[in-house]
Amino acid sequence: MNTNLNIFGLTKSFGSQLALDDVHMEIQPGRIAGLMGPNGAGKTTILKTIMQIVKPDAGNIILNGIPLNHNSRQEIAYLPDHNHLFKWMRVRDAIAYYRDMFVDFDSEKSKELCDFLKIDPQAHVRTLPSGMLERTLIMLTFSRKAKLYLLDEPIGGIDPLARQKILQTILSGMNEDNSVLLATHLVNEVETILDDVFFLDKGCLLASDSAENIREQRGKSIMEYYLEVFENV
Amino acid sequence: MFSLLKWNITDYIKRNTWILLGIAASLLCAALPRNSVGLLNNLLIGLASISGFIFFQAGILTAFLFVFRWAENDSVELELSLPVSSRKQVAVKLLTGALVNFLSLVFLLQLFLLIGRFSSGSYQWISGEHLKGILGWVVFLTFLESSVLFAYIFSHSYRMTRRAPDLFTALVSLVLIGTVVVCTVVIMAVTNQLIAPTFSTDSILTVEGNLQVFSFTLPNWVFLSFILLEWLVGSRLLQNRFQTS
Repeated sequence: MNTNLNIFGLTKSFGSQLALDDVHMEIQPGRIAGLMGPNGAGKTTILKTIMQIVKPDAGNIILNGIPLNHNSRQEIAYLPDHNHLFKWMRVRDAIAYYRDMFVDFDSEKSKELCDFLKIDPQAHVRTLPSGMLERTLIMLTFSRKAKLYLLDEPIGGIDPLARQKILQTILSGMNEDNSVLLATHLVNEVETILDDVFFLDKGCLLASDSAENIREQRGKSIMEYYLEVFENV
Repeated sequence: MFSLLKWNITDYIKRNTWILLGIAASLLCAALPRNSVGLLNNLLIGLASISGFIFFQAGILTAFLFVFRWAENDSVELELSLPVSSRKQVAVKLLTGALVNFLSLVFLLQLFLLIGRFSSGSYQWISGEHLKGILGWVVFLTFLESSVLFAYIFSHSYRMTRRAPDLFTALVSLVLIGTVVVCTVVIMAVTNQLIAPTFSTDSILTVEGNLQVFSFTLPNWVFLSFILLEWLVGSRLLQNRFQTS
């Protein structure tokens, strides 16, 4: 099967602190992969390295068979763990910005998602409550027809209704050509939508498997497997 | 590239709307009085002069900050995740800074011309001759911004300099700007091109005025060459080594 994203021997340190230690990962098209681990495990560093915001000390990242370059960003939709929009923006400004900057941005889809997620395009970004801000960022991310979606804690600190809507949006944005890498420590909340999991701690990849294998061969839920892996660390 | 430039200019305007309002108010204060007789007229002229100078400086300063401090905003992750080459990213920052510098200088000149009508007796608008003097200044200010931006990128690109990025940004900028300016002045002195500035009260910012040092070709070419060099090397560092965290 073709792979969408390949990561080989990714290593990164900040000063004397090792953030990633020889990480290998592979994500196939049509799959939602969960990158899980406690705070400080290195999840955000992996996503930022794929976005080329952080430069690796060693290792390679291949997207759809091509080593990463600035054009690769056209195929990746990134949702960071904080508000990265300009503070002066209204939601409609953010939509216009994305439309201008990303050729794969679908304005019709953004309207549909605004309706579905109950987002007011006139609202000021800086005054949005955290749940609504997260919905807005998800709307912008999934209005793009990207090959790879990188989501950093997309459901952190938000109410159950918003969480449900965000998970539905993620699922509706999937097709057989694209894939999602979702970094979170909220294992229970995302368990039902994951196809693959990667468990990360202190920059090391502890385990990886498909959700199907975990359930059928190991006879465990992802949460149970997560606890088993991290208890043995 | 044009979309990127459009959004950078929009970003500058949205962040600094107060400067544009201040500039408009200063010009209005200078344009309203029919003559320089009476308390109100003199008050308006005085207000226009003081506020004009403040907003001119604010324009230059905010352009400077806009060019090199963008990477400290939360929006840096959005900007760095755009499918745009680092050369375009850096070029657009410099172009935005240069445009703001140009408009700040045009504003100051127009303000002087409006106030100057009370001595000359007629309204004067900016002419092509005035702009000659301005362009040299824009090149010089853009060189300063380019040097600080380069120093900022450099100091965030190596493990050692990342430990004290502010200190290294200041050091590298001072060394770079100092060296280039001193070398340019020495070359001009050796080639007999350096003329001490003459201070004139009636033709500020014109080729004949006290800013004429920037109307010479040599320093402009030197500054432009360094802007180009810093842009090329800075973009490469931004692409391959730069990181803020």
